[in-house]
Amino acid sequence: MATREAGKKMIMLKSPDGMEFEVEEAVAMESQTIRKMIEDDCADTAILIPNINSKILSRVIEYCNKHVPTTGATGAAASDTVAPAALAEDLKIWDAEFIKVNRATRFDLIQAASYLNIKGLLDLTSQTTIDTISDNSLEEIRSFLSTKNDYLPEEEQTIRRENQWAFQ
Amino acid sequence: MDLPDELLHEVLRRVPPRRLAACRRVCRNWRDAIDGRGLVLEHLAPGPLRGIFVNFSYNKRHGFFSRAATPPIDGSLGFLPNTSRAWREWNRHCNISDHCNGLILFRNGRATYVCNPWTRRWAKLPWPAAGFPHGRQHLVFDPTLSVHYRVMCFPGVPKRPSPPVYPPPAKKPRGRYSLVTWNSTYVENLPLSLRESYEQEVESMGSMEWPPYSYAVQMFSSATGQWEDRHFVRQGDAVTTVAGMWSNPQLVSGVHGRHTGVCWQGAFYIVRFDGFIMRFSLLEDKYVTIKTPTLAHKLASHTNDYGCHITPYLYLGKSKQGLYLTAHGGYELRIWIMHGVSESCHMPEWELKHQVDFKPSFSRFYTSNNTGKEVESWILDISEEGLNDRVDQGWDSGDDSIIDTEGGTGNNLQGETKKCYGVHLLGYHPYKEIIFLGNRYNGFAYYLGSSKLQYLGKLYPARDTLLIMNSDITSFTYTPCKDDLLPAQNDR
Repeated sequence: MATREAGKKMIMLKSPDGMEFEVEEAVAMESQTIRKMIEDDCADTAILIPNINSKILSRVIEYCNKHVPTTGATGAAASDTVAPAALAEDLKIWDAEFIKVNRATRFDLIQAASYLNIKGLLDLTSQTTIDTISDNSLEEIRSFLSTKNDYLPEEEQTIRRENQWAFQ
Repeated sequence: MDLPDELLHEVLRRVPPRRLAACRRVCRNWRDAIDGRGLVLEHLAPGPLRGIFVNFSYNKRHGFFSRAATPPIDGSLGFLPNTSRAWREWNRHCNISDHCNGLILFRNGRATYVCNPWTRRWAKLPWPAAGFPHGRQHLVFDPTLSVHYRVMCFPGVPKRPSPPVYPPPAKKPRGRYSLVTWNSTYVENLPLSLRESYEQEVESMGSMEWPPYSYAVQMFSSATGQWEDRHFVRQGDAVTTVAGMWSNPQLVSGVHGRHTGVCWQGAFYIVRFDGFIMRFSLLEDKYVTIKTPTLAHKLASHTNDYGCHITPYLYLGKSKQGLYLTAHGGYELRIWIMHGVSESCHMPEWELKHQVDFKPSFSRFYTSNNTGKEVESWILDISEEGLNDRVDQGWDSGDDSIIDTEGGTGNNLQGETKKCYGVHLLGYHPYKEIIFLGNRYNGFAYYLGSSKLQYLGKLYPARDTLLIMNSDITSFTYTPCKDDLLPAQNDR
């Protein structure tokens, strides 16, 4: 149910496990998917977010809350006192803390960010995965993914040979 | 717990290509995801036009000619081993022998390298077990198909056998050279038995189809890291016979190909100096021959400013609408676009796109006393260390240096200091209908659409008076391959 509180429009988000989250419209509109729903007037009542459980949804809202562009009276006051560079630095540290989650949660967050179309969150969540892929040995990547090397020895030989010119 | 394919793709496409290639070993699922969507290939696709490698002076040296504002590319490939100037001058074979989509094949004495001037990485090809193959070497690298490159050696027409030496020499000649070369009177004077067996040999060789049904090509593939023999099977008819080639009218009339090879839509095309095009499928071992348009109106016989005859030749280039075939002699160009060639149809329609004679415009350029007015937006870089002050003066803009190609008679190019060997075709712009031209002194761009010739800058390196631009070997337009999978052990 859309309500009004202190001059700000509120939006109700519902997760499939029945939890309801009341968020400012500006925060919800960080998600391009929700923005589209609001702009198309499909959001008079609560918006049901399928596929995303309440635990993940609450984290997503937490992210959007932090990243919503600070505008209006309070926002102006904040940007007067804090330099934008410092603010960005602050946000970076916050992001780094935010993403310290286990793999399953991170993958859930990637999926949620992708479904809700929140670019910043998608970049953040996939970048850490990319870093994991880029910096670790194949064995470490496999254990990170809890997957196994399913190549037959001869296939492994072929694939090694194909890569030979790159990694002599 | 796995990511859905869509998201796995989203994540993987941001991983750098070398790492991505390594990640193919993680598990089958990943290999399929990486290969299926061509994720590594995305990174290797050629970038925008970066400049032109200009070949100079007896096949020994390249300079890089590019827009003034861009940082120079090392045209002399100084990052390769043994490329110092002294070395180059003493070694007969030390130069670029081919290029393809940003990679370069470099021959240096007995060694052959594949290198990338953008990343400055290189690989040295192994020595083939059967000795280094004869025939022209081509580099084939098509990042729309594969991350791997190939080096292919296409043998030419077999030589007419040399006649037996008569009377037989007392000692066997040393070396592999025969004492006699073919000559009709010499053959007629041979004793009958020798002559008959020799003529039989010539006839059996001469009656072979050309190009052969099964064309044996020696090929190095970076996928296997080895040289191997590949047999490409011809689809369709042969062009002629070997004997036909020995007396080829194209050869007699002097139309030569520049031995350019082009990768285009899954196939590799080469122009044979024999006057036809061969199209090799890169996925199957098949090839077809394609007839070039008949040069019904032969290009006028040209002589250069020194009075020597200029041999016209064919050049194949890639640009906006696909493949462009150019017949070029002296100051004259004739350009066709090839339409409708595919795996199943190899009878193209040749659309005559453009005909132009640059002599009037060039003579106007050199006689109009326009020194000082010329805007130099491009710079030639030939020094080993690179030029420092490069100021952008905005190529593509300003019409200051546009030279009118119409009207006027101007037939004298005899300015004492401006003697030229005609105009050289440096290459096609890969994405726009522009051709780049040069003579000994200056570089130009010519717009096919508007028939405008634009002065780009000096090609004559002032400090090095010995350099003369080499007319028909490997000057080419360069689109960088910004990442590659070449070995990194020599990373700087």
